Amino acid sequence: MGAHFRRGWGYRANIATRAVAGSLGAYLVAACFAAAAARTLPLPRLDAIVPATMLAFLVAPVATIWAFLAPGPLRALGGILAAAALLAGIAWAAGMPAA
Amino acid sequence: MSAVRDGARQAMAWLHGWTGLLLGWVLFVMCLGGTLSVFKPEIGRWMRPETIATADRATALTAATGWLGKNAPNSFGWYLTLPNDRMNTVEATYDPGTGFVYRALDPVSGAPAPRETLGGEFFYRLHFELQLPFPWGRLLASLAAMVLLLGLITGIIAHRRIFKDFFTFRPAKGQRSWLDGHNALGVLALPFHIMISFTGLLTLATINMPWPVTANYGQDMAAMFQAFQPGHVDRPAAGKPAPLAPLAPMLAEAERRLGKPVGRITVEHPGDTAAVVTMFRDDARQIAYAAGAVSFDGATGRVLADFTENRPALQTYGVAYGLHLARFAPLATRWLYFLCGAMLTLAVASGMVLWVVKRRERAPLSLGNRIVERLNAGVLAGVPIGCVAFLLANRLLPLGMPARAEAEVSAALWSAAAALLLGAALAPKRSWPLLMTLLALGCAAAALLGGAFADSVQASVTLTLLGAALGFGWLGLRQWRPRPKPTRRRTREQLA
Repeated sequence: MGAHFRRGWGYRANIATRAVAGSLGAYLVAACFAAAAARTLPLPRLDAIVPATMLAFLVAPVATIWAFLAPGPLRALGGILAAAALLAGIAWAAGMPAA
Repeated sequence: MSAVRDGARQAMAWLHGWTGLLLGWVLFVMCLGGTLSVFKPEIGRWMRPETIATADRATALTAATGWLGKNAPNSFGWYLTLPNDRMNTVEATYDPGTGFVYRALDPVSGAPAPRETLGGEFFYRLHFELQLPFPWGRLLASLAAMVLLLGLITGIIAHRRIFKDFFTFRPAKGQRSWLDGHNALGVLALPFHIMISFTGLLTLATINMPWPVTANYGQDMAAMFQAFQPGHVDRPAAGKPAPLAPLAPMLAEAERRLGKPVGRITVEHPGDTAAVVTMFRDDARQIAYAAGAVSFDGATGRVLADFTENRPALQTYGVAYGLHLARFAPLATRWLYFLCGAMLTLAVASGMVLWVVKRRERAPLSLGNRIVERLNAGVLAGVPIGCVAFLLANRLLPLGMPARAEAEVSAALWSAAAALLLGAALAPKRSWPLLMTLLALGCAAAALLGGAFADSVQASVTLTLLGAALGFGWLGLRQWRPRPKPTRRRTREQLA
């Protein structure tokens, strides 16, 4: 994203959208992934927390990177939100939050 | 296809630069504090040169709890680390009635060391709490750790030739040299950098990634902690006084059951009929942290729980945690941790400098980048100056002074703040050599004024300070000389 981008408002909106998707959005994806993994991994409920947490720490940077590589800013934001919604749905379907 | 790859690489370089710029100074503080924390016990011994008595674990535990029983009887708990071959004192966190404090207790008398200091604990806390109130320091540290992990990954992707750069350094060529240096520091210890940022995130997982716990336990934290630490019994105080049973027999029983020496001990509700004493296996005996524990009824000395971790997932967590803390590490491994940590610290610092150098060589700096340039001098030189001021204050403040340990910390913070002001006020070509010279003089003064040589540990700290003085002095001297003009100046027009 160097000098070949025009530095106008379009560029700023592009960066701002991707920055939101890549920071808050990426964390949201990682958090939903962590919850879904904790609910669905075939392990005792305490043990499942460990791989769920560890993998979430890898999901977060991958989501951030993807937000800056996606073809357009709206697709980046949309993709991130869709992934978060899907993972949240899995967590919810698997019984989150625990009673 | 190649254009797409180049575009991706550029995007990653952009992301690497901007995320690094946003959190770089925080990361610098964390990396420096973490690197020094590798030698937390050794620094503690250097900072308490009068306290040289040694005692076995049982004697030290009895002395420490005897003193605490008289001086902190109403503390919610006493959190102790027994002496070992790195540390001769009992490290204690307790509440004497004015809020929790950390002190090193003499292993024979049980009283706090006369030279009241946080010792290496200051750097350890700085590393992940950044002198900020709970939970903000840990949250900021978590954010910075995530950015570090992201920076490592984007750095690798943005990089064209990892293997070649391994062997590349072109000195005295401005931006080129800073880039080569930054790359080499990052690449040479890359596995360490990835390990330390990942495991670092994990140590703060309860605060930065609590969602798996919420998913599986909801609000029932008590059930989670019970399952997590079955060797620890958590129960409320009964409100009825009862003296603590002798601790030495409990220690012997715990070590018999664990099969290994005990390292950490917690005493909760001391002096109450519901007192609980928990003894954890020494973290230096295996990579894993908190590998096993035995709980005792404090009033009777009866065993309440006994647990050695053998669940694979939890063992994995313990090993990852232990890899970050490096308490398992023998001396040579500790020096490797220190070296790799120093490389990461310098990689962060050189990245921050590179941000400015790269832009300075192309065109006059914008206002924002001129601020970055001045903050760089203030932070990158000022934080180490604060660390050295902490060591100097340790030797210069009078022994009986009230709130002495806190005054040492204030000395560190005010010195760093003064350096930050100098960096902001002076042009970088003046502030850098000035601050580097001050840093070198500070290291030399700490080594010469406070030089402690009672044993090999104290001597090593003193010699390391002398080495740092020489290194920073050399850098400072180089910077006093006028900077040669960059050989080639490119403008924005030429780039476009």
